[in-house]
Amino acid sequence: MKIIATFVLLTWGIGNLFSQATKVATKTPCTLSGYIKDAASAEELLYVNVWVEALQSGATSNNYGFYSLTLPPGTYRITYSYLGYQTLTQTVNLTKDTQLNVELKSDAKTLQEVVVSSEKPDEAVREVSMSRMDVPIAQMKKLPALLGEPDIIKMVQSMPGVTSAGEGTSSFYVRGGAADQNLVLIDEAPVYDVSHLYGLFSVFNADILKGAELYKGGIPAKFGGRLSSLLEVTTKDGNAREFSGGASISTLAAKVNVEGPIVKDKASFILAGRRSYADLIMNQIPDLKGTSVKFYDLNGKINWKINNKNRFFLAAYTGRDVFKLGKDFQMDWGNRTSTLRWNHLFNERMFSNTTLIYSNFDYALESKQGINGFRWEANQREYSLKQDFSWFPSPKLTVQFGYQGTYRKFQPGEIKPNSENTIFKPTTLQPRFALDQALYLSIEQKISERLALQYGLRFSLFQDMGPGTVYRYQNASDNVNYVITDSTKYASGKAIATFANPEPRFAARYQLNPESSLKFSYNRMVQYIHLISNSTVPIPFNTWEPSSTYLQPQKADQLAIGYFRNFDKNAWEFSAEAYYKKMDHLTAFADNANIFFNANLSTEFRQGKGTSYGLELLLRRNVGDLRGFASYTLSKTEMTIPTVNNDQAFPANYDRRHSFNLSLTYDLSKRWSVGGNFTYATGRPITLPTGQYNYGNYQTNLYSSRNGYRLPAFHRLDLAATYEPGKNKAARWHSTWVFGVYNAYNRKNPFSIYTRVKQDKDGKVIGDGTEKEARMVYLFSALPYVTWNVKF
Amino acid sequence: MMKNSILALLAIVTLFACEKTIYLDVKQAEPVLVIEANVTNQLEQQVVKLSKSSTFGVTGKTPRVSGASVEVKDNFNNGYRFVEKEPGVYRSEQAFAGIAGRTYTLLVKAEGKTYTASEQMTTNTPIDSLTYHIDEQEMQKPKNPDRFYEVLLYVQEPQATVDYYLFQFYRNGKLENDEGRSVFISDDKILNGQVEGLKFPLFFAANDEAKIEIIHITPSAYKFYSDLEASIGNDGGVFSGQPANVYTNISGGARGYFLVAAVASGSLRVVQ
Repeated sequence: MKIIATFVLLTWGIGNLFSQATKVATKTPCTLSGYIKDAASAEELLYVNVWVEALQSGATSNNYGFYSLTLPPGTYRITYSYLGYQTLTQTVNLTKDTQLNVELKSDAKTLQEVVVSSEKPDEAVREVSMSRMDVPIAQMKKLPALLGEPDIIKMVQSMPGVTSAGEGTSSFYVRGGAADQNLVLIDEAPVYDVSHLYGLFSVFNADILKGAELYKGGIPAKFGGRLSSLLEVTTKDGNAREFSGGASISTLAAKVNVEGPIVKDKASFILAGRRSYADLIMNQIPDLKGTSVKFYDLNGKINWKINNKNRFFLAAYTGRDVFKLGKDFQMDWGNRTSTLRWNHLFNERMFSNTTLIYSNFDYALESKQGINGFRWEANQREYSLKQDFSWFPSPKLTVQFGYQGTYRKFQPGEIKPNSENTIFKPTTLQPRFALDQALYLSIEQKISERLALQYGLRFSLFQDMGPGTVYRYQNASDNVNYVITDSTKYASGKAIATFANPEPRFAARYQLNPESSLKFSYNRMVQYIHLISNSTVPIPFNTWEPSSTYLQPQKADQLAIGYFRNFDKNAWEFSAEAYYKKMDHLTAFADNANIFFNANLSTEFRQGKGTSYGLELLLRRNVGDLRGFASYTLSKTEMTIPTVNNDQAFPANYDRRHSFNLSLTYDLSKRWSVGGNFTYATGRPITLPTGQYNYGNYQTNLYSSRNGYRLPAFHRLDLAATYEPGKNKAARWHSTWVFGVYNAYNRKNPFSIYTRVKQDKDGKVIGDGTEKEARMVYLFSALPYVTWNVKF
Repeated sequence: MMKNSILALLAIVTLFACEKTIYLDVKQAEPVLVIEANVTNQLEQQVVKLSKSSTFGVTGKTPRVSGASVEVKDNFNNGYRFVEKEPGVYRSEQAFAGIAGRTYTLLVKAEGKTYTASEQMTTNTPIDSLTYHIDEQEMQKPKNPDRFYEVLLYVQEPQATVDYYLFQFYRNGKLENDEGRSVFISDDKILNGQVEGLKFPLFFAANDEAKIEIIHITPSAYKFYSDLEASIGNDGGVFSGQPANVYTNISGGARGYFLVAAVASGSLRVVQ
């Protein structure tokens, strides 16, 4: 803690220094700065376009809704534009540093909920960063969803460059990266398991979301820790003007949310809850004997805007899945996160963000069967401090720098006997500790009208910390007969292994003309923590492992180029991106690895190499009655893992050659709108048997190559219609109905193929038990659903 | 334990799922020799079975391999010749019992190729006792009309050593493992040493003979059986690991296992 305290003082010193320096160095120019918010709810708007016509230059509000422009004194017409909002033009006579908070009015022509989109009209062409996409939250709610539950992870899975392992899973794979290579943040706090009901749904309740951004490449130096992507989810601040709320009931879950001012325009809150109710029905069925399944989520946030210079928020999330199998067996898992953030303005050009973050993921299995009675728990938690500075010395230059420090504790497993005559003894796997730190500097610079650069460096330092014991093995990768030859004990606070890596980041945009641009980016990413999973789709019983003596940090270098073009006054956006990614020390496991409760887990690691390359096309329409996007991805991902597949390269589990998605919504009238999704993807690679043999009365398979075959292609169409009855002026509330069907043409999409001894429907073996059969599993047939939403 | 939990969880996903049998159009691998060889601590004619792998999905037993030369040696220069008694089944000429601590080496020459494997004989883990009683719940709704007796195992597990076990259950002399769909193995890492009343995973009728064999296996044999279990329960690599070949301790390109292990057994007859 001392180190952190010293550091904070130091960075604050730097912050003050910079702000003083700016004042001295730029005596003549003046800074126009402030916050941009929604006029109705006072909700801050992120990434709003601020444009100075006379100078043909501008800025964007940051992800806290703050903007800063430093200009020579004079009178300017400043235009604030934001998708879904009326453009506001203000004339400003700038003679000294000026604060101007701006409120934009929604241009929603119906009574629909305010469209909070985080994209400005020509953002895609003009911004330096590429390979970045926002998840259209408002549109998502009109699109069809499984069991009527809108889900941002499902939206992410439909984006170019992203694949899924199949429907009904919440993992996503970005540009050839594994599921654990995505950093998923809710209000800056990482969420380690984003799945509910084993992945059927994600933990993100759509009612509380303000925005979500996916970064697939060209990742700014501010972010790090995962190889492939960053999904940054931001929740609403809460309406600071008036109380409002909503509730909804879908085929799956019931939701309720309420928000409002604590002190008008100064402090606000929002609370949202969601609960599935299948268990309430299941409990009524005697045959199930107590078997039930449920999940819930709770989100809460308090905002306090003391003044323009100091703002706080406290956000918390908790969610859990509980699965009961009869009376004696229970499993549950969930995440808890909280974020305390302080935004501070040193002056108009120096913005600071200080964040304290806590995140916890845990699971438990419990058997209450007397002799087999035990409770098994595992968890991991982390505490982080982030100090970010944004400095706006001129409209041509934005500098971001800061520090992030995280202390992690991993408890991979603990078994507690829970009855007197149980055969189990209390057993604990060695807990692990790690200190993860990074310093970064990121500069965005407009070199000329046409050329803009974003470059930076992240320097990351990771330490596997004591207390702990490291074993030496005769052969560190012998997972059968491991022979421990020696062990070294490390005291608390002692570093067991230290890794340091510079992570350069670079992005460039060259504007060809006002409608089109070319972009290039390079980034190196390093990942120090590894998900202990050898399945295609991670399960809630997977824990994470820090890089250490036997586990190297994973590294990736990615190059990407892109062409961006807008048509018809930015009504249509088109982009084409190509990427090449090389991955080193890719974490994988030996064949049939034992990854559960294994004290010698390190003998199961097999780190190898991977490459991925692809082409991604996107066409998107953001305005008018017809909105939506079409995406196409052509990609290939291969990996080479020692001892696996005879050391030969094999396709990644989530490698799909072609992937196409179309998501459209259309407003038919003020009351009716319709939406549709169509998705097509090459089948996922699978490993199929190339023979069988007997051992005793067991029938087992012979395999020749890993992922040598593919499932048939996946395709599906979903449809939805939203009806909004006219608002009764007297009523204080209004409602909407969503009707939909998932998998409209009832395609039986293969989920998996497995093999078994040939048997009939009741599980009786057919014949003498020597014959095997292959079974193809399908998930969802056509599933209709209804959702009723009410807002007040 | 974990695997069962995962399978149970899969039920959620499969709540929505349906499935069908399909024909697999895959390139078939060249047949390989499969060795099922045992040396126990019991004084008996030890058995080695040789067969071949077949194409996936065929009916009937896989082809037996005849005319091979099979031999077992220990590290005290004792050699035991095996002779083919019926096609593919080779028995030691003389009965012999494996001795704890000795290393046994298998040498098989079949169809012009040589295969070897070695393993060290383990120590015995004696069974204290077995008891039985009526399982009231099962008696109310038995899956099989007369089978509602539950048999319980009592055993002391030595805690000073790291041990691995394979359990085999018999009803009236017939091996019961869910017709080749269950493997019963355990290590002792989370056991407290006092096993007092562990239920057999099957029910018995009156007059049935219940028998258990506790086979104290090596870490390597444990790997073989745990891979076998993973292979049988694999879901195609979605939530379970990717399907892969089961571990073998045999060199030379054969599959299967040469198991050298001490067997402790106990049995009782259920009396009404």
